[in-house]
Amino acid sequence: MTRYGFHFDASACSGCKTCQVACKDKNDLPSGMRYRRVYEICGGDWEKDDSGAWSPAVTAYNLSVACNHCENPSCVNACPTKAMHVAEDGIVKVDPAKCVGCRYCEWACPYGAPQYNPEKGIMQKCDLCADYVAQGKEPVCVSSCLMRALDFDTIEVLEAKYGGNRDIHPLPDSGITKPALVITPHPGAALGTARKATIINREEVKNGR
Amino acid sequence: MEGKDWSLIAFTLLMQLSAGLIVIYDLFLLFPLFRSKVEIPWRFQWILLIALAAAILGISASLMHLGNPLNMFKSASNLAHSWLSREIASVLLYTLLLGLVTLLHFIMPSAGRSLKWLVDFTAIAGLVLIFVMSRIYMIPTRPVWNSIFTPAGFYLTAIILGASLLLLFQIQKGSFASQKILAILTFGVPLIQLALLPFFMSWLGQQGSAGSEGLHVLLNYHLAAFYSRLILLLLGIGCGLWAFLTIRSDLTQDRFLFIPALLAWCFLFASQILDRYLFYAQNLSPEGF
Repeated sequence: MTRYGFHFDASACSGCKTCQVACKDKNDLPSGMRYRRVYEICGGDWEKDDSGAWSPAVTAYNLSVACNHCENPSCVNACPTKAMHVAEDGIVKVDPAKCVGCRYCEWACPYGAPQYNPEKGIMQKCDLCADYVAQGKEPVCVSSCLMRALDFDTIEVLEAKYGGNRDIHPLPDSGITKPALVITPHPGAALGTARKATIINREEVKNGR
Repeated sequence: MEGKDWSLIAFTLLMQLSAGLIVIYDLFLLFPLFRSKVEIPWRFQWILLIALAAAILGISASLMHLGNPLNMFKSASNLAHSWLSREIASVLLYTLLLGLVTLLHFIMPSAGRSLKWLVDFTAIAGLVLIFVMSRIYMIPTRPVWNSIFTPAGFYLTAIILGASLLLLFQIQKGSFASQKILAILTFGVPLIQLALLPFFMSWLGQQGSAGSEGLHVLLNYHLAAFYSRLILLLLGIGCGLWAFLTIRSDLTQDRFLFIPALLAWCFLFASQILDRYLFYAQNLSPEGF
């Protein structure tokens, strides 16, 4: 089975959120729903060096996160109706005819990918712009990225181009669901854990339009 | 905490009340000591009816949580992987068994003893249901829920609600031993729930960012609910203790038991509503994704 995935270059992302807006526009999503979300990660404090001088030791970078079409998708395992499923093309999709709108997939996904559409009463999520991919085009988030921080291809091609790293602080351990995601970390991300970097735009992501 | 979570609060509490009622009464039927001095035919029928009504109301409330209830019939189709599917199957099994037991007790009230095995099965189905319910929440992506505190809390709630309601049913000509045991459960089990709270909060503090956020939710966003729950629990414990001290061996004292037993049930039910409200308020993902 072909497995498509995303590459995200955290060192290139400027946090402009064009990917988020382009996705929302392409999928005509209602207020509050976003298949792709840009998280602002920040942490650190003042540090005293050997000479006794204080200097700011901060880490700040962005994470653009959508559905990672995992190899072991916890949303698929959680779904009571099998509406959430792995399609033949490896894309994790929701069958609207089966979805009961219980939102259990939303709890189960470590990336917050499944989104509840209150107007339709069902879950919806990124399908990697399957219609565009069928026409040989890139997903809209990738083609709209000003900084070329996003890329799309089969996971084998992405790994060959960018390496096999799938982890970055504070995303959950990739071993849990095996996401189809390759990450080029931001240089500051290595200190993310030590500097207790965390999402600082949580309210915006949770309650934003 | 979202608006639709109220339907989950109602569903989980009513199913646990129903299962608690049946499990405790079934245990009482096992021991002659706990059987009533004077058998009142309608007593068990009413207990069954209330348990069934609670289960049906609970199921109805759960439907309000669904965005697209028309697809509810497909909800038990992933039994191999989904705990939610298993919960739906367990709810249906328990409610069908309870419905059957209730129906048979109304059709053949004199055949109560011969139907004991069916009540046993229903009680076991109730215990399984509470376990399956708790497993839904024990997922790595919800660290605050993913611990032994979740099943412990659900079982304790079932015992508290079941025992305190059953105490009301034992007022009229109930056996002395059953009244005593139920009163002990009515104030003793909430005491265990209260004693677990510091352990839970201490554990929460060790669970990284989601745990800290969980504590923040309890002690900042929902501080009023947190303290109200504690006060209601303490009032329930106090009334349970009052009921225990009221119980005498002679039947003439039964009427004095009514007020503390009723107050204990009301305070404890209200405390469990707030307890479950705070539980759903802690629906927090790790790192906030």
